[in-house]
Amino acid sequence: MRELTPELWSRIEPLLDALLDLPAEQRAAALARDCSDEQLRAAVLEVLELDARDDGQFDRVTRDVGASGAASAGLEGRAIGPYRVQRAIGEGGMGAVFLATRETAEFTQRVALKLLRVGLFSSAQQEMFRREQRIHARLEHPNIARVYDSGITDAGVPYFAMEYIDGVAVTDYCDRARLDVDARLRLFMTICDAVAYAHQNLVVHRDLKPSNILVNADGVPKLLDFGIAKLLRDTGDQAEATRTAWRAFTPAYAAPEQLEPGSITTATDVYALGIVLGELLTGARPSRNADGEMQGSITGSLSAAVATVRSSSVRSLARRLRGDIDAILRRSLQADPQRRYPGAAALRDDIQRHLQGRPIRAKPDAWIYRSGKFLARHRLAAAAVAAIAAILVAATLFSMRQAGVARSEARRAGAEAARANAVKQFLLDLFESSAPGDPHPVETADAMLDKGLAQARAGYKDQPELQVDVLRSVGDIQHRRGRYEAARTPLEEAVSLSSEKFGPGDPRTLDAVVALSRVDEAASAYASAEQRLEKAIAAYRAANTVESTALAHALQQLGVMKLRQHRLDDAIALEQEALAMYRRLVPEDSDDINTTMIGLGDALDHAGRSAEAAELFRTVVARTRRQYGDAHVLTAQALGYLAAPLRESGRVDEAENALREAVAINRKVYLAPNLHATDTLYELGKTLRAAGKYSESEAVFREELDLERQLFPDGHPNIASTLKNIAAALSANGRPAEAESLLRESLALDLRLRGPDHPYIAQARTSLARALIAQGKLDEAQPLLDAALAADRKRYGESHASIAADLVGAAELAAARNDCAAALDASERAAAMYASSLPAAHPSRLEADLQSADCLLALGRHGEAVARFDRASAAAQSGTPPVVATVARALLGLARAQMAGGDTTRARVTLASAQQQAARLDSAASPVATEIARLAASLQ
Amino acid sequence: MSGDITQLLQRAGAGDRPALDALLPQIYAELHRLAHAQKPGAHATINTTALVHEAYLKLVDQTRLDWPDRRHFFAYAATAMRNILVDNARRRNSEKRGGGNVRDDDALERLGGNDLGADLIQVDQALGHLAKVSDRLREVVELHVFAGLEFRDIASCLQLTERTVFRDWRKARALLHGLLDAAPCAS
Repeated sequence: MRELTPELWSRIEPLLDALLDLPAEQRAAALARDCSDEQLRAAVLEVLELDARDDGQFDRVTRDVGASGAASAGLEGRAIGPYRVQRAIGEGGMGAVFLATRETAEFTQRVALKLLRVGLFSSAQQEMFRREQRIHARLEHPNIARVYDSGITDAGVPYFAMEYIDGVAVTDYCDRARLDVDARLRLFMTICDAVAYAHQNLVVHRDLKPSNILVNADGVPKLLDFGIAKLLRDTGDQAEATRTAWRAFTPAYAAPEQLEPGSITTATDVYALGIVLGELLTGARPSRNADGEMQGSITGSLSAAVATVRSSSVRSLARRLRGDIDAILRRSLQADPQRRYPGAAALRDDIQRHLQGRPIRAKPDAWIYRSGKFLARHRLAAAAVAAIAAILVAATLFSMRQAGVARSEARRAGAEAARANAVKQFLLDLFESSAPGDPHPVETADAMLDKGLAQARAGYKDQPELQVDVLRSVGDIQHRRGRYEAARTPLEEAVSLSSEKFGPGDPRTLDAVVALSRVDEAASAYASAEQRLEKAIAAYRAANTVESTALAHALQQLGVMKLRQHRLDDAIALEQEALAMYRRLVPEDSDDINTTMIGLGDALDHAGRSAEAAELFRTVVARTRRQYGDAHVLTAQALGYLAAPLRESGRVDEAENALREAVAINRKVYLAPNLHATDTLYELGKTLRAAGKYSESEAVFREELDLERQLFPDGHPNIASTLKNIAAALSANGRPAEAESLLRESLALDLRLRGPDHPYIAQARTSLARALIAQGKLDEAQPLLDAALAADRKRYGESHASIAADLVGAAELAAARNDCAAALDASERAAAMYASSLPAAHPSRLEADLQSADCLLALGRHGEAVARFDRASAAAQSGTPPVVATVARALLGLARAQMAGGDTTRARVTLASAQQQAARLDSAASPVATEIARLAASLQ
Repeated sequence: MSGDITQLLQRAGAGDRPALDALLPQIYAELHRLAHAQKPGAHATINTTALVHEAYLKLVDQTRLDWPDRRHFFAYAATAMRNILVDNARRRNSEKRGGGNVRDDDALERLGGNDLGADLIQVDQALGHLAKVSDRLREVVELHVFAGLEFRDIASCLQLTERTVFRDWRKARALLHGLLDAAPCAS
C-alpha cells in the first residue's frame, strides 16, 4: 500500500472493477485469467482482501462521524438470514437499510432490511430484542410499515425485515404535490392516527421525523421504525453505546426530556409530531429556545418558495397559520411533557376542531422571564462565529418582518411583555448556542455585527421601529458577549433614535433606556444607570398620565440599581410600586409579576426582613410550580432564592428541604454544568454544614466541585473555595489528612489565579497549617503560619480579622506543643480583634473564644473557663442559624470545665445537652462527637 | 446572503474560481456554528448529514440550484466538515499533553474522544494520500462520510450511476484500510 502510485492504481482499478462485481468464489479464477502480471495480481488481491475486511479503523471513524456505517460497505450480495442484500437504500442514525429479497416458491418478496449497529452479544440481550420484535410485529395498521421478520446474524447483528415502502419523506411529498395547508393537515391527521394506534399498543416511536414518515405514490403515509429507538437503548450496553456513539434519536426532533435519559412517554412523540407539523406547514422546523419551546412567530420563516409549494402566497399563508395553528404548535412543543397534548389523538382532535372551525384547546404560551436574576449573566466566552453575523445580515430581512408582526400583535395584546421579539430571540439564540474555544477571532464577529448594523441603518431608514429593534438586538448580543462598550454604542443610538422619532416620553424610548441601563449594571456602573433611569422615568411621566408596563419595568430596574448601591428602603419602595403597577396592567400569572416579586424579595432579604422575604419567595415558588411544573429550572431557582431568608430566620430545616429539591431539579433538568447548578449546590452545602451534617455537605460540595471542574477546566476562584469547603467538612469529620491534600490544591490554585500577594493567600496558608497541626505535623505548619502572619501584618497593620484568624492558628500550634500560655495569649488577642468587627455569634469569633477557654481550662483556671464557655455557648446558640458543631463544642468545653471545677451535677446536665447536639452531627467520627462520647463514658 | 451564496454556487458551477474561493469560508463558518449548536452534554454525536443539510438549507435558496451546482456545495461542505472535525481532534490531542484546555464540546468529546480523535487525524492523513492516487475516490469518501450523502445522492452529484459510486466507495475504503495499516502509530 505504501508504494501505491497513481500509475499503478490506474492498472489495478479496471481489474478491481470487474472483480468486485463477481461473487467471491469466482474471483481468484477470473483474476488468474485476466491478469498475467504477478505483481499486479498480488496488488489486486491485496486490495480485495482489504475490501473484505469487516470492521477497521476507517469504518469506526466513518460510523462515529455519523454518516455511513461499516455495515453497508461490504454487504451487497451477501445473505442475511433468508434475505439477500441487493443494495443499500439509505443510512440512518441507527443503522443501514437495504433493499433485500427473499425467494419463495410463489414470488420474490421485496423487503427493507434494516441492520442495526448495536451488537447483541448476550443471550439476555437477544431475548429482549426478540421480545420487542414480537410486540412490533403485532402492530397492524395501514399507515405503519409492517415488520415481517427479525433475526440476529451470527455476528450478533440484529436485523428487521420490514415492508418496503417506495415513497418519499412526507415533507418532500407535500412539496412536490404542492399540497395546501388543509390537505397537509388532513395528511398529518392520518399520521397522528397511526401514532395513536401504536400508543394504544404501548409502543412509543421516539424518533418521529419526516424521513421516518414516508408517503407512497398513492399518497398513503407509512410510518417506519416504531420503537426501535427504545429497543436500541435497552439492548445496548450503555457504555458501549456511548463509545460507539450511535444515536437513538435525531436531536432536531428530540423533545427536551429525550436528551436526558429518563421518562419518555407518549408526550415525547407529540413533541416530535409538533415539529413535523411545523415543518410541513412552514417549510422549516419551528425555531425553539434553549428549553425546547417554540419561540418567535410561526410565520417567521415564510418565503415565496415556501408559499408556492403550499399553493398559497406568503400573506395568506401567514394569515392561515397565525392563531390556531400557532397555538397548536406551541402546545405540542412545551418543554414540560405534561403541558403538551396528552397524546397523538388529542393533537389530531384539536386539528380537526380547527378544520371544522370549532374552538381549539391549546392554551397560549407563558411569557418569558426577564429580570436581573433570571437572565443568565455569564459572559459568553469568545463566541464569535463569522457566520452568525452573516446570518444576522441574512436574517435581518425576514426578522424585520417578523418583528413587525410581533410588535403589532404586542400592541393588540396591550402588553409590552410580548417583547420576546423575533430579532432578539433569534439572534440571542444563536449566541447562546455557540461554544467557547471557537477558532475564529472575536474581531470578525464584531466586524460582521457592525456590517449588519450598517446594513440595517441604510436599508431601513424609513422604518425607525425596525431600526430601533435591530440596534437593541445587536446591543443585547454584545452585552451577552460581555462587550459592554460595544453594546453601548448601538443601545445609545437606539435611545436617541427612539427619542427623536417617538419622543423622549414614549414607552419605547423608556424601554431602550432600560436596556442601556442593563449594560451599565453589568459594568457595575450602578450610579450612572440609576441616573439614566430616573431621568427617563421623569420624561415618561411628563409625557404620559397613563401607566404602562414600560414604566413598571423601568421602576423595577431602578429598584435593582438602588439595591446594588445598598439603598434598601428606596429599592423596596420601587419594587413595591412596580409590583402594584404590574398587577394593574398584566394578568396575574404573568412572568413580570414573578420577576418583580423576586426583586422585592431580594431587597427585603438584604434589609434583614427575612420573614417577609421568605413569604414572598414562597409565593413565587408556588406560582412557578403552577406555571412551569415541579421539574423546571425556574422552579429550582425560586426554591434557591427561598433558602437564604429561611436560613436567616432560623428555619434551617425548611431551607435545607427547599435546596434539596432545587438541587434535584437541577440535576434532572440541566444538561450541562452551569453556574445556577453550582450556586445552588453551594447554598445546600452551606446549609448542611451549619446543621452539622458534615458528611452530607462533603458530598454536596464534591458534586459542586465536579461541575466546576467541568465548567472551568483552567481553574476558577470558585474551585479554590469549594476545595476549602470540602476540606472544612473533612476536618470536621476528623479527616485532616484528606483535608490537607485538598487545601494544598486550593492554595496552589489560589497562587496561580490570584498571585502570591493576594490577600486570600494568607488565609489559604493558615487553613493548610491547621490541617497539618491536626495531624501533628507541627514543623510543617510553622512556616506556613509565619508567612501568613507576616503577609497579613504587612498589609493590615496590627488588628484585622485576617490576622486574628492567623493567630487562632498560632494558638492551635502552641497548644499542640503544650505551650498553654502562648496559646492563651494568641487566642485572646484574636478574640479581641474579632470582637471589634464581628457579632458575638460569628463562628470565627466563637472559635477564638472557645480556644481561649480551652487554654484557661488547661491552665487550671476553672472558674474563668466556666464563665467563658458559658458565654460562648449562649452566643453559639443564638446564631442565625446556630452552627451545631460549634454549639456542641461549646457545651463540651463547659461540661469539662464544670467537671474540673468539681461541679459534677451541672456537668452531667451540660453534657446531656452536648450529646443532643452531637447527635445531630451526621458523623460520629468528628472530633467533637468523639470527645463528647469519651467524656460521657468517663462520667458513668 | 442567501441570494449571494446561491449565486456564488451557480457561478462556481460555471467554473468561476473566485466564486469558489468565496464560498468556503461561509460554508465553513455555518457548519461550525451548527456543529456547536448542539446542547452540550447530550449523549449524541454530530450527525454530519443533518448538519450539512441544515447548512445547505440555511445558506442556499433551494429552488434555484441544480444538482451539479449542489455538488459544489456538498463538496465544500464535506471538506469543511472534515476540517472542522480534524481541527478539533488535533486541538484535543494537544490538550492531552498539557497544552492548555479548551472546553470544546464537539462530537469527539462526546464520543469519549481521544482515541477517536487520533483515529480521525490518521484517517484525514490517509485521505490526503488517497487524493494523490485518485482524487475522485477522495471526493466520494468525503461526500459520503463528511457530508453524509447517500450513494444515490452522490451519484446525482457526480453524474455517475449509483453502482459506480458504490464500487468507488468499496475501492476507496479498501485503499484507506491499507493506507491506515501502513501509517505510523499515533503518538
